[in-house]
Amino acid sequence: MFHKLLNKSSLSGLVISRCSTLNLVTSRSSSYGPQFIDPIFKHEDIDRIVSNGELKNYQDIPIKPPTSFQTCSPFYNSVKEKFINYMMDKGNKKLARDVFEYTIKAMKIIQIEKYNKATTEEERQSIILDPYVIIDKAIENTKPMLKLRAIKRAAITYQVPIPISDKEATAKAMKWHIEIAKDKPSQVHFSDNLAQILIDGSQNKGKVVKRKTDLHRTCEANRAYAHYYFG
Amino acid sequence: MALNAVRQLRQLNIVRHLSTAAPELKYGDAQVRRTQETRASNHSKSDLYKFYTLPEEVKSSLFELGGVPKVFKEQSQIFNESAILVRSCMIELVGYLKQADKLDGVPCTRFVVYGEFGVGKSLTLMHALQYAQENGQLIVHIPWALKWFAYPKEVSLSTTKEGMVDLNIDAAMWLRHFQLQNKKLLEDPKFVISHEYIWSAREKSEANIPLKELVEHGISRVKYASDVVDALFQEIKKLSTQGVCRTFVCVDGYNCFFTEHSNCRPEDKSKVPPSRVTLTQSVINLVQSDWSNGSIVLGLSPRANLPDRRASPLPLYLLKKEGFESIDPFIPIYVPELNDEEFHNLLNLYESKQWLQLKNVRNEIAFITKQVAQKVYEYCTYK
Repeated sequence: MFHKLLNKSSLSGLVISRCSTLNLVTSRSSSYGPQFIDPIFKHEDIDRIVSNGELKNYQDIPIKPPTSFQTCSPFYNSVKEKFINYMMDKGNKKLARDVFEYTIKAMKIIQIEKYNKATTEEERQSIILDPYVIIDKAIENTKPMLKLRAIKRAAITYQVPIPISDKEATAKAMKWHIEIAKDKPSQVHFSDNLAQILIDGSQNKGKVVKRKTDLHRTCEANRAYAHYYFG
Repeated sequence: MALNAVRQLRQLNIVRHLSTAAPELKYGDAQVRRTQETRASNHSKSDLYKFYTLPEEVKSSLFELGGVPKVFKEQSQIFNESAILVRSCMIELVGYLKQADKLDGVPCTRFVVYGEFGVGKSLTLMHALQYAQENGQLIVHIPWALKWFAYPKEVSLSTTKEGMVDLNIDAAMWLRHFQLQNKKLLEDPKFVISHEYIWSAREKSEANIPLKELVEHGISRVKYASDVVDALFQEIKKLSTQGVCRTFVCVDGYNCFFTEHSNCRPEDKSKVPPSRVTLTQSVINLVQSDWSNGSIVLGLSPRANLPDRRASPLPLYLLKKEGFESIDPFIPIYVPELNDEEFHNLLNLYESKQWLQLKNVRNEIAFITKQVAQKVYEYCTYK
């Protein structure tokens, strides 16, 4: 019985791998069904729901439990947690968190030094001192609008520009930051390099913005293949 | 004799509990409280829990070659000023020192500053050093003695004392520190050495030469630096007993002299304990109260001990029996964690310097860091 099951599963795997070109990509299934909604763990959100009288709407809906890093602390930031997860290597979250915190420190030091050196009031107000605002701006500036996918038509593979979702674009921007920060001489610390890259990104310049514009340029050049996406 | 001096000091009725006179600071009061009084000897109860800026000339003359904790150094570099919080333990220590300086010909009194890691013991010592400099005292300051035993520069066997070990480069570096701190005083012609010292068959320091030359000899002839330090301490003892000057001795991390082993490895590659280093013997001899007209301030820290003995900050635990007996009658000065007023004033400074940008986070910081100053700084840094 067990052997039969095994055979069946391997067969289905084969079928899926053959069909991968037909957009039937396998993904790990969630332990919670689609009826589960995301947890609400911040005091402000809960207070708002209670005061608006929306509590009735949540009575019969199952809710996922929060993960260990989703806390009601004022220091919680969802972008930060996502960034740490992308930086993590081999499940070593402690290290990734430390490196991220050193990045925050480096960013603060760079910006405060600029702030102290600035002479006029206008110059001072143009400097962003909050590191999390810098990260948000850098990601916003480096999000791509399109992506390229290899599509085979008549034995020739074309790089076809296709639209990208907001979630995927954000992920791509974060991964580019980390990838480019790793390319450095051995004496420079990763955290210092990443801090400088994020500050550059928030001002709409630097290596990551260049990579985004490069991608856009290729998409523009391959504009003629765009209809292959539809069949 | 020393015990009598301690009793005398206690009878002078110095106010111990100063917290009742504290100015009230409300929660979320965004203004940083500062005082304009930068002289350490003029600080009083009205300056409590306020920041004062350490003057640049004091910083360059006293702490150029060490003495400032690493975290405070970094912080003052970022904030563009070195702001120190006036605390009750500082005023208590300086108050005792003022009274002790009035007594002439009395064996020197010992003060022991102790507390948990990161509460501000070294800053208390810095404040006391500033006081000593303002009053024209001869300063013998050993900043963070553990540096000698954890990261020794060069270890060699002693030629004068059998079975002992010399740290000559470290000793020469310390002599340079001593020279810088007492630049003005050493020019005085009254400072002369009492008898001649013979370093080798060809080299010797004759009697009645200025103390300055003895120090310079140690710096230029690094081979004899450890012996010069020993000679210098003996001369300082004699000079202050004669009444030429008042001496202020300050050792940070004194408990590291009584640990079981150190990283000092002479040529035979075996680790020697700090008790077999010549500098240790010189410092312990200096700290005894067989001389007068001086005051000794010792800082104890759990960090100066080996990692297996850092559980408690109390002197007997840190020094063990041997170390405790070497300094036995002493006045203890406990450095506590920040109280509420100090904590809010510190965070006001961080907010005004844009180091902490989030609002309504003070309760969480106070809970997690236990209001220990260094932990507060680190928590604000990384968030």
